Amino acid sequence: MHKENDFSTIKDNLYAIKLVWKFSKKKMFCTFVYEIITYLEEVFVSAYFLKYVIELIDKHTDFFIIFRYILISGMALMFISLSRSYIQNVVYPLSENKIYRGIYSTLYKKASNVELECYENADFYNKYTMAIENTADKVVAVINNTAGLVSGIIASIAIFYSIYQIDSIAILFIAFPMIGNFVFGIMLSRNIMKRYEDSIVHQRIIKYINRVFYLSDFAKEIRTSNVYQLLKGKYMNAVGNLIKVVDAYSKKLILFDALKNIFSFPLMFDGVLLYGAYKAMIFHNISLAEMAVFTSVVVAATSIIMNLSNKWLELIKNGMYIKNLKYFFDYTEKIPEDYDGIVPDSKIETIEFRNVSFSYGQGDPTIINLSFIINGKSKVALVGHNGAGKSTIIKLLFRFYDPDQGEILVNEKNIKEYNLKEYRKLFASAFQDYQIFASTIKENILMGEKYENENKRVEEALKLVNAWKDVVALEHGTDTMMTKEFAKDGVVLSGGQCQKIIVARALAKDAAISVFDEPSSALDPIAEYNLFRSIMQKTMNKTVIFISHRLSSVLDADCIIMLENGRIIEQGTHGDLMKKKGVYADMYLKQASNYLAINDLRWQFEK
Amino acid sequence: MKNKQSLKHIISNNIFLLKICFISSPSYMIATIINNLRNNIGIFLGRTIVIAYVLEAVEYHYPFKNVLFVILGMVLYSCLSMIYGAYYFHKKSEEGLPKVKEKIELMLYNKAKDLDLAYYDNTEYYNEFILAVSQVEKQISHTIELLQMILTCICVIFTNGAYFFVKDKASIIFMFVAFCTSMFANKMYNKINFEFMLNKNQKERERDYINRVFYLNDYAKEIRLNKNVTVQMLDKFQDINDEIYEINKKYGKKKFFLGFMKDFLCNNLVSDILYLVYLVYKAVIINLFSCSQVVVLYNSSGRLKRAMRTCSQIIPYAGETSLYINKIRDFLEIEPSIKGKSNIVLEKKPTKIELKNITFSYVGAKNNVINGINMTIQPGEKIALVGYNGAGKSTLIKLLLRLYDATTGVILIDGKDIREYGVREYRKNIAVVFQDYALFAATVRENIILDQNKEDVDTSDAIYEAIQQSGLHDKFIKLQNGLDTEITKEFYKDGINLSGGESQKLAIARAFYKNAGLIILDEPSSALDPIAEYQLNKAILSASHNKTVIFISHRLSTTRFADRIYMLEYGTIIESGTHEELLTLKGKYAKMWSVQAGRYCESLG
Repeated sequence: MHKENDFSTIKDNLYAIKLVWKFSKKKMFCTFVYEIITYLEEVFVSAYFLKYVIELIDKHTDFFIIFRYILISGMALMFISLSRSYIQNVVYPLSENKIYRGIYSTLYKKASNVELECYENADFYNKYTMAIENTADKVVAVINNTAGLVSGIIASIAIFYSIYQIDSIAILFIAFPMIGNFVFGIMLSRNIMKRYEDSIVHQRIIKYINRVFYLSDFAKEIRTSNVYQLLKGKYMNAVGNLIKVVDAYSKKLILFDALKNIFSFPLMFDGVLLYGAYKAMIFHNISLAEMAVFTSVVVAATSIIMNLSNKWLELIKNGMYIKNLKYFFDYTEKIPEDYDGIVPDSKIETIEFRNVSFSYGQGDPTIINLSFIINGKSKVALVGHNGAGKSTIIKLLFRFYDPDQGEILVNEKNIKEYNLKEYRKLFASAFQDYQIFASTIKENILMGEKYENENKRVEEALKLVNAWKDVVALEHGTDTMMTKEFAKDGVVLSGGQCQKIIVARALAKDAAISVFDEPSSALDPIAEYNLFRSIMQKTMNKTVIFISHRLSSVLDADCIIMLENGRIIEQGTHGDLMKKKGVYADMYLKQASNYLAINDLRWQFEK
Repeated sequence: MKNKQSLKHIISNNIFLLKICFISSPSYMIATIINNLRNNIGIFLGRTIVIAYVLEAVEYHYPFKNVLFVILGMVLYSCLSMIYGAYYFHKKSEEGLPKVKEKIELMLYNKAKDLDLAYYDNTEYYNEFILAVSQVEKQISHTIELLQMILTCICVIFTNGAYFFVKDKASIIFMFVAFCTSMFANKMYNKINFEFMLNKNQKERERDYINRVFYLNDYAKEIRLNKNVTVQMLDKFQDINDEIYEINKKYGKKKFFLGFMKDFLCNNLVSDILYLVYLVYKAVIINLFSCSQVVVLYNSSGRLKRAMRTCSQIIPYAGETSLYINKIRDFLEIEPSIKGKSNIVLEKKPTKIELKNITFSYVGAKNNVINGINMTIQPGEKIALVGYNGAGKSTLIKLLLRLYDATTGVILIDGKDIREYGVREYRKNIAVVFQDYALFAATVRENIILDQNKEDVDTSDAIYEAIQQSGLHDKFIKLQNGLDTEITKEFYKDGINLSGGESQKLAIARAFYKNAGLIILDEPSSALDPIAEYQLNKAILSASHNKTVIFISHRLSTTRFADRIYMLEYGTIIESGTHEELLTLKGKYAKMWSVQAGRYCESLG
């Protein structure tokens, strides 16, 4: 089991290396050069350079010969330092920038290509967030680490060889502790991982409470209630639990860490020293110069080997990060956004749901055996309680999800047969949770579409939503940047104004079908009334589907579909449904009764 | 960040934080000091003294037994020292750090909870202070790191420095020259680097924005519906990235040369190459040193050099942490301007509320949001505030809650200025549901009582009544863990996520539970369907039988039953009266009403 893990870890690391290879071969090459010359310098200085100088002193060589030797070596070191600085300051930033560009472009493309469900699947989304967070840095870390590991192995061989040259038995003093270091190192890191996993929930609670206090979202509640005490209690509780976790692991960790270090330093270092002294003093078969160099080599050897074992642990850690990235890149989309198929006709004859059932994940079904037909150019309203399935119908129609059972047909063809990109072009939509992008007002309305007479189109859309006057009053008019992300003088609009822009976005789009999901929730009554009038006026010859809680705005619909618990319970025009005296009529009356004298009405109606 | 700090200031700030560290976990801090010393002493003994002794012993033929004892002694010290090190890292520091953090963060939270809401509106303050708060953990580890740096420097300079002083004073000159020149080169390098980072930061922030667009759920739908936006954003990302490339390129050459200068010319060249030449000279020409001494001196020089380098970094490092600590201190020193003049408690009963000539403008705004409002609310009255977007309704509520103080004018409760009451005591008598209410990642119970649940008080019945009134009873009665079910799955897998409507009902249940004399509801039903809204209205009316209620709603059907309706426009009251009175007035309210109700009337004849 453990072997397999290590193997897959190496594979994950290789995956990252392949990515870097694809985006910047230069980075790959230079990292290896960098690591190798760094080790070369260390081994050369501690083992060969010093050893040679001492030997020369020991042999009473002429000072100027030694001086010349040091100078030449100094030149070599200078050259190494020069190349290192060049790689670090010139090559790395540029090549890492290219890697960043490459990896994130790929990530973004993939992110916009996976189906919407991925965002709602907590497990997937977690992996995705971890994958996207500092990915480029992590991938670069893999390269640096791998290059360090490989060069470290070469350097260890070189330094082992130089120790071997001085004394073959001394190798044992290094090899034996190395095994101990490695074994305890792995046990240590496993337990640290476990401790981390156990403590993560407490850490997150602490972070959450921190957020609660510094975000303005919670500020009002904190001031008008005693929730501070609750949060403080939770915080202290989390710290207490955290310490409990630390406590539970502390004995094991102390043991493994102490053993690991004892194996590495005292044994390796003092062991070799004692052995060297023993040889020099009892057997006299090692010269003082050799002995002196010996100590300096051993110091270098310990640091190189320690590095090596750290790099190995790092490799395992990196592997875990990369696993998420790999999972995400290798994920096969259920509804790929670049799905190919027939280009749909922009003239809409019918939209049909045929026995459609759907549930989110493993949950209860949201839509149950639903069938209805919408004719082209008609106005359809979806009404019902919160959670009746209205928004889900829209999401299925947009093919954000595919139904579990049944089919959805547009112009009598299953929507799965259409080219997805072209299919989506049929729709213009405004939802209450739509977002403003950090670009100009004009761009926020056109959303990247190209038209002739764009300014005219934007103006018309803004006039329809009654926002034109406000926009013209701005210094840069429709070219004003929205949000302060890219421009310090960007405008931040109120909730109601943002909703207007979003509706304008839908009205500006040349689409056969318009969909509105509670587009007016933040507007005052007058603004809402005007907005609905504009929508109806603009979409005269189009198919319109809308969701509204305000039933007075659905009166003119050609067809009202009343939903309850994912089923259609009533369907027809307002008049039909009122005559039926069913759930819709009841709902309508309740709403209306608040506006009119309630009892009279009910009486009148029941008569 | 440009402001230059005096040395005194830097020291005082760092001492401030260290003091808190010592107070909140003295044993941890003492362990930190011991750990640092045992490590540095160990390295000095092992790497310098013991090696020097062994080499000397070999050279001058001391008995092997002596060497054996010295080395075994060293091994023993190392073992004990490493056990202590492990104890420190995995126990003391892991336990101590959260404790220190807890101490400081709770101090900050305690402050934050009473801070004027206005601080959250002012982005400058917000960035300066509130974000500094989010950095506490980093600053603590920085300060402790600083302590370690100082200890290491002292230790190394005292041990290795003393060693050089005894063995060869001239050596110190080499270290010192290397230290001075490299410090100078470092300064130049850092200056360029700072400029470089400054140039890059803005671009990187822009790049982060695009990152968010692609990874947050919020934008996922639009990205799928508008393929061209994806392309546009991707292009923008690549452009920004290319700009960063150019910045990297521009600074690369300068950084390359300065980097070489600081690492080699000013450093290794002097302390390694030239120093070795000096040692060889002393050994070969003057015959002052033995081979073993050359090796020991050469190897120890590195440590002294590094310690000196650390030394040179102490002040800049302390300066950096000081900037942040300063923010933390400033934050702790802010006195909220919204304070009570006394701790007078407002009794839990409906009271008479009078607003007299109230005007208000947000800090930095040109126009008044509230522009001379006079209003008297009788105990038990049901009041509705209506009007267009931006008319000032929500702001008026905030003034009433004393989240802000009016610029001019007074608000009287029971004839007494609200500023006379204790702030918390005053707010206790008001139950409020904000338009942008927030739920907490806590249990249903905790979310409703918004306080710590005291174990000896059974709150269940009152809570059940509150959720019954807000229409959540059916949903919550089915839950396995009942009222102790966690809201959100953020921390617990068996938590529940609520829909928009359910969340709103939960927020309303809080107000029912609070049992205050005044209930304020700001758009309480915006996310609810008509039936739920209808039931809610009924529940609110029956629950608030003896209470003063203030409603804000765009749905005039909700507000028509109010005893008095105030129609606001541009921060002033333009009409007021009962629904019927306002209809007869045929003013703006009547127009608004006809727009909304008209269609219902028409349709039902």
